[in-house]
Amino acid sequence: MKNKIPAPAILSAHDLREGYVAYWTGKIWSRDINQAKIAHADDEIVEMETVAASFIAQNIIVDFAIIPIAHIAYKITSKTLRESFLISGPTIEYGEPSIEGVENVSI
Amino acid sequence: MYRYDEFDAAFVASRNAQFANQVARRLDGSLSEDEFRPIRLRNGVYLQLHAYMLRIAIPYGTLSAKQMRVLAQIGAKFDKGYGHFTTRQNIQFNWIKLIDVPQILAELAEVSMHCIQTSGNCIRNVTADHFAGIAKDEIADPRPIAELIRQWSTEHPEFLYLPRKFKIAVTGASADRAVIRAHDIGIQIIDDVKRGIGFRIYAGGGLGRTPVIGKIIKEFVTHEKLLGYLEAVLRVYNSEGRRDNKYKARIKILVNETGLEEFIKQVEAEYAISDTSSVDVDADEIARINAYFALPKLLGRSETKYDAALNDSAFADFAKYNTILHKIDGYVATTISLKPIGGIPGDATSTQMLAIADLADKYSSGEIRITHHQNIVFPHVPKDDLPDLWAALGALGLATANIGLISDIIACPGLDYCALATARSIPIAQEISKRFADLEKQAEIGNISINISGCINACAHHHIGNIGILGLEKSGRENYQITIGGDATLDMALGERLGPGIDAEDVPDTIERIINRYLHLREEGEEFIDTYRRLGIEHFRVAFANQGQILSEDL
Repeated sequence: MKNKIPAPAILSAHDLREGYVAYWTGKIWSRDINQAKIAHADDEIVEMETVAASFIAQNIIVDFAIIPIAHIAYKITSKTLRESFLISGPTIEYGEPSIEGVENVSI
Repeated sequence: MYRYDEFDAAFVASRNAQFANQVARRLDGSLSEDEFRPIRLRNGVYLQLHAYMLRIAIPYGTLSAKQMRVLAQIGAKFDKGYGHFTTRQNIQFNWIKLIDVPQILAELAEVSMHCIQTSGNCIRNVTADHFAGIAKDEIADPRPIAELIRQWSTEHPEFLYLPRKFKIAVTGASADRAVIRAHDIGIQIIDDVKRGIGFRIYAGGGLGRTPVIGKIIKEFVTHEKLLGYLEAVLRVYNSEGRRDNKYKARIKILVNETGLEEFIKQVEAEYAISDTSSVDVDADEIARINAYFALPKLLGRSETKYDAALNDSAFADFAKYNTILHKIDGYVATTISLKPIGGIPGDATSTQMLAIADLADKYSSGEIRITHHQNIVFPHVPKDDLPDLWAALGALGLATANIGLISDIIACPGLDYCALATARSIPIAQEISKRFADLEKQAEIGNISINISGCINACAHHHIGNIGILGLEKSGRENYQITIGGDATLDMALGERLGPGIDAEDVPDTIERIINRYLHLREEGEEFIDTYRRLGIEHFRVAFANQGQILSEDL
């Protein structure tokens, strides 16, 4: 069956135990997208799906995605909107802010 | 507030042990993801875009200070130091690890909290008016009814595999602050001249991809018969609701496809043959639950310090916008805005949550409410303590005086977090908030609601915002549709679309043009929704269509 995801592409998945997004490097799963193995042809993408299925069966990952990528300013990003945010992480600052920077706003 | 008895504690402990076992079996592969998914959802565990998310139930939005402390600690220990309060009065943590969930549930159980039925195709958290028990316009406190329904619906053996999620809201005041007509079942407490206190039942409301306003299916049900009647509704839904298409599976679709009259007939027929003896509630049980929600002892207090503090304009504005008068003289309910200018709507850090808990103990009899607007309420603040409370909140970045104003934006997590989202919502909220940061301008605009959803599921209720913003994807880019004229009250209305979707960077300008148009057209005393209703959408389409051109009111 013809692969629907165009190359170049990378393989991502969630770590089953901790939930974080990781990328297949060809040998291990890494949280660093710059380590991601890039598939340049359809058969490589199909092989990635096989790899994903294997790791799902080993209860290491869950919910994989083959992400079509582009290089922009030497950074890997996705050609699809949703996956571009999956790769970048939240685009907002979250967590404990610096209290000093918060104004007591009033009219 | 309601306190767990031995039965409740044992039930939650048993459920936690069961889920801990299920997590272990998932991790060792005994359960596949397909088998585990519905289980984890019914225990509040989602797999989102970046991580697991845990949704914790806050029954009808009521929390104790002790519970808030534990939520703060969970945020610090197991997440990234913050939590997000939702439009269903729950809290979500965005960075949870599955392996930590059993421990988190154990810590929640210590303070009578859990995540049961916060997701999945079951009856979800029952929501209610955040001013329950204290508002001057209240007919009766909705929380005892919400608690009754919570107990009845938790692990109800018939209703754990519904066609789809099911949401119930209860309001007890003349003004509906619980958005009941946008719920699968909405319950309005009424005081009938002949029959006394009872309940008017709405059904078939819902937002999402097919927004529908709920309709009355029963004018009056007594307290004693309420659960039996709800069971009849749920049985008809469970039996007749569609299971072939998840986008057509909500009760709103069933009511629409069946026809309201026929649906009511089916419910009445089901009720007539039901043996409701096990769920009918006698006067003793009503009194027992009511007793949990009695007001704390609120002694008369002077208002001298409060009156003197009003000379400080900043305090005066906080008092004006963030407080309402309590039933008891000398007290106010105080809303703590989680919408600082440019901030993330509904988020609070663990530091803030700990401080809020301490302040609740000091100033609000230890009680906290979460609103569906994603803010926090201290229900019982002595007016003379308000200046000190305000100062303390200011030091925490929690004293923004904007409740009900344009920067009090409701926004879902959107594509920054949510696996279902099609666009981001938080940055849009932040930019609009910054555009209208000037609070004199906010006061001039007056009461207005802006609701921003990052997808068609409408978790931020954009359909019923005075201004609604829906984020979609178009040709690989974020694209935002603007609606106006939505109303979340009992006069519920769905917003009308202004025109084609626009790019993210155009949203703040567009909102500003709409607001300028309103200010230009309004008559004295009119709020945004009033002007829209008087004039209709075409007057606002002018502002929307003329982007890039200057209209007279922009000058």
